[in-house]
Amino acid sequence: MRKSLAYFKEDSFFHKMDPTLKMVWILLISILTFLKNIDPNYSSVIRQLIIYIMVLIITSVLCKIEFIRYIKAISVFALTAVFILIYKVLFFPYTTTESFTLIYELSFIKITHEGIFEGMGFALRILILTSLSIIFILTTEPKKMVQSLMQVAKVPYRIGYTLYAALRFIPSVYEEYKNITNAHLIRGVGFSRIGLYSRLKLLKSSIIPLLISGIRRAQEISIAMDSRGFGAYKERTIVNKIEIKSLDKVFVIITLFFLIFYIFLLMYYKI
Amino acid sequence: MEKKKKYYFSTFNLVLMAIIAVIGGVINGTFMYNLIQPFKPLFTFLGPISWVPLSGLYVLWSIVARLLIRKRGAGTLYGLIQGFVEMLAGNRLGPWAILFAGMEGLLVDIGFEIIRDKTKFLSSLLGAALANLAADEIYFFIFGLTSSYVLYVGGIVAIISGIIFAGLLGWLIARAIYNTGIIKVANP
Repeated sequence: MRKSLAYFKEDSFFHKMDPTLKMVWILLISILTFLKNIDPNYSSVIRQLIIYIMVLIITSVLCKIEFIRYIKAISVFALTAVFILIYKVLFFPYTTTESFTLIYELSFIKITHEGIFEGMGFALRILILTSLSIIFILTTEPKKMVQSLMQVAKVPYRIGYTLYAALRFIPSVYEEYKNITNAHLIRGVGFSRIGLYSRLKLLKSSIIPLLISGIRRAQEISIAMDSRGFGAYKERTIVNKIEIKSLDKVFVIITLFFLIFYIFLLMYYKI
Repeated sequence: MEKKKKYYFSTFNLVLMAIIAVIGGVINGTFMYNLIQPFKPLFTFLGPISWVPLSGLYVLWSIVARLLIRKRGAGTLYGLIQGFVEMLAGNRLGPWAILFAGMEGLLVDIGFEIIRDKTKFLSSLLGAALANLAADEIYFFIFGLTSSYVLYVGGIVAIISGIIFAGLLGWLIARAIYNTGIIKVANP
């Protein structure tokens, strides 16, 4: 797992928020980001910039994510955003069939008004969506998320258990994979300086043992679970009961009203 | 009289999905990166879509899961689980990773429904092609690569990549697993 993108403990509003409601909130902000912001013009860039600033404030104040941690988490996608910005600014006319206003031309490089706005718009959209993901991942405890999915989102508990099981298998599968690659290395087989065919053969000799040991483990675990009566009842008892706080509900409802208000402004006042 | 099964997916099916999802997540996050990096420069002539020829490798696990768990909907459920694991493993798409992986799994299932051959070879190829095409086209839109060159050429390359690196490779992996005798079902 990437350390820069893993849950960390903190006493913030978002850390305490119910994961299912958090997902709903992210969905609402994502809709807000895409609403009428696709056109390459000045106002769509400004609207997205406002949303991004709002998300940054939430990241800092309501999530208590330090600036360095945020930069580390977003770095790769920030580079992608910059790449897309440059690509759109320099080559916009090649990516569209619509009219454009040329500012500067040098050989095949054509800088246009629309290219600059579209590049900025796309870069901001990537930054917003990635920031929302970062907020979710850094502030959501995986175990709590599964519990919330089962209790709040009413995901069947057998499926919920599968997610739990997946969480528990991550370290052991990783360990197994390391054992297999170490066994390869002892025999002088590695990834350096080998061709495509050899790489695919090596892929096969790593994946097949990993899958076989996984299937064996799945057989043992499922027999043990069935013999203990897993799935015998439609409902099951819950030790850690999840209760949604009214503050979480209010936060999501406010965002929903904000979204409706924004749609109203777009429709009637053409902002 | 045979007792009617209580649940569509057995406990074994669910645990197996969890394990394959984790294997897929671990391999995609570590092994796959080392595997594909040296070959990326080979496709620089494709411009902004140089990553597409190898993108099929990311759909591979949905095909393997669908071939090992031979039930309708297994691809979709597997996709959702893998998306969850990927999100926790640090996929920057966050909760959207669940939706993307679920959509890939759904298209794999659709491919298996359209062609129902006995060996599941053609089903795998079709499912992989559909899933990779849809996933890559969505990425094109997300990253603003909407020129007709990217959409058409990228789409064709995505289909070929899906067929080779997900459909064919997935089918060969599943066949190798069946050949070991650890899962006792007929072909592949």
